[in-house]
Amino acid sequence: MSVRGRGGWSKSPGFVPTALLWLIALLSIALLAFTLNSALRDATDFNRDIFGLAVPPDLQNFADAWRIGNMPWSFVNSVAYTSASVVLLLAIAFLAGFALSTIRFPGRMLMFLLIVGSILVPFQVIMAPFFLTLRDLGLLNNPVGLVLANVAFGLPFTTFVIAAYLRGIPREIYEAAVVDGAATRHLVWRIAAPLAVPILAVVGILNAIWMWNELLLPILLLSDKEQLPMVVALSLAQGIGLEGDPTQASAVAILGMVPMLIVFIVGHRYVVQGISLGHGK
Amino acid sequence: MTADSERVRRSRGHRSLARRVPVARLRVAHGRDLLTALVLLAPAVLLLVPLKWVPLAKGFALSFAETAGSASSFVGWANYERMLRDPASAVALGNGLKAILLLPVFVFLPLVVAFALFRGARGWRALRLVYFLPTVMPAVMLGLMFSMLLGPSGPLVAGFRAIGLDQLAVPVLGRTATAFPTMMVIVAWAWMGTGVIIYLASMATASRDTFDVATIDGAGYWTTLRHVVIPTFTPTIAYFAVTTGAGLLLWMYPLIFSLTGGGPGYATYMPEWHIYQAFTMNQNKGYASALGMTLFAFLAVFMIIQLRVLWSRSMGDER
Repeated sequence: MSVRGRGGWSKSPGFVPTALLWLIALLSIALLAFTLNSALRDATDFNRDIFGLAVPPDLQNFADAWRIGNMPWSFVNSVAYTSASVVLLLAIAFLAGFALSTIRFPGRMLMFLLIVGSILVPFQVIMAPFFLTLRDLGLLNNPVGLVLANVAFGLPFTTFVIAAYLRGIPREIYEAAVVDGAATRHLVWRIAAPLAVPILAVVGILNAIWMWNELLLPILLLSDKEQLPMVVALSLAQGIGLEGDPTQASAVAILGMVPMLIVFIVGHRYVVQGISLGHGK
Repeated sequence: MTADSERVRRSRGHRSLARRVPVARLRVAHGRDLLTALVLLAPAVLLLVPLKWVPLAKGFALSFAETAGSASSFVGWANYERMLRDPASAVALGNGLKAILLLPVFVFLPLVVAFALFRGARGWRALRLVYFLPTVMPAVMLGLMFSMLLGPSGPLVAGFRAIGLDQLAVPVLGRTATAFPTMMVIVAWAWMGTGVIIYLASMATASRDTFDVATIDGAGYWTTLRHVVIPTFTPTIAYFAVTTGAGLLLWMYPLIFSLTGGGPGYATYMPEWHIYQAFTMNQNKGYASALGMTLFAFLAVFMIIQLRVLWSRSMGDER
């Protein structure tokens, strides 16, 4: 499915909608540009003339943000947690999605409710008991606990997406393999897995973005500063921006956005496809 | 890639055979398939039962308990009664409801934008990227950016002061009356791209005839939006509304964290933030669980609708 600006239909929307569209977009760009400009200025210079240009650019705020955000180690942590979580999530969700979408077995509804139905139990609802459970398992202040939490809370949606996709594989393909003498487990690896690669890529990137940006889970589950992922380390270092130095806050915000900006530039097709999975055709 | 097309080709070659030979079809449940299914489902179930379903039951029990250290005692409805008296709960619930009442804004603003992009407004290719970009950004960093922009030494205050409108030159996030509405404007902005993407995807799959009638009639943008787009895409709009409703109760923590920290006072408390505060600041597991169970009840309304859609799209109507 492609997401296009216009579906081969060229009647322009007219003045008011076009103006509205441009107004919001230009405002967004102006806000980002102001923030970037401020990040490149010295605080005293900023307070003297708030709308002045960063000429020449001063990189001190970024150097400070880099240090207080425990870079580059917090970045390494983010990469490690995100990739481990996504790989584990995709493997588990793929197996479950195959069973739910393709195999007919008694208790299918129950399994659907147990796995996809757990979307009813988001983290916020079970914050205290979930925390206690991880503590009892010895998984607090432990990256393994964060990875398992990421996987558990990502499973319902991811399993659903994969199941919905696998349901589209024509049954004849499996039946032919069964005639060949393939057992059901062979169908998983030899037929479903190769065909599922595109959806795994899309839903994997979407989950990676969510996990990378996650704040609440790591704040609650990790307390050792050295273990914090990038977004969290930067957020905690800055504290609440209201009282902070505006130029420093700008640099922290920009630095925190850079990795996702790169992901967006490189893979925006996948990102857009992933987000559009949420549409209820 | 060549390997899979080879596999597919081979299996297609067997189609005629499959028709002639009575095959033990997959949909016939026999013992071996049940076993295979259970093996495939085991990792997911073994993760979700101890990490979500058991904690849900534990949370339910905890909501009727008072905890001190590792000891806990049954206190009946005390935690729920306390919730009714707690001013922070009232604000969190009130803000949650206000946010839900604003759903039409969160849902229709992206529709207006998406349809204008779809109709090929001048510069739509570049504009599209500007609208998509915030969807991938960490919300806490967007919040930090706005806290700087709207803060006491930010450009909004300085700008109003410079043009002599001193009465408007206030840090809007720091005032009780304006903090929450300002936060909702920021949410509308940050969430817009997601809606635009979802609507554009839906419009791209619609048949061209859908819009042709309106074009022939010479209907303008707003008329077409009202009489063609909204009726045609009602399922998408409804689904997006449900997701957004749940999101407003669940995904606000990072924005509150960097915009206001819940303040001033309790002015920008939302349910999720309140639970976090009750749990971490006051170390009150029973009360935090009672709040969690209450949120669960509200969310269930949205989530059960969502679950029905998920069922029909992944499992329902047998092929």
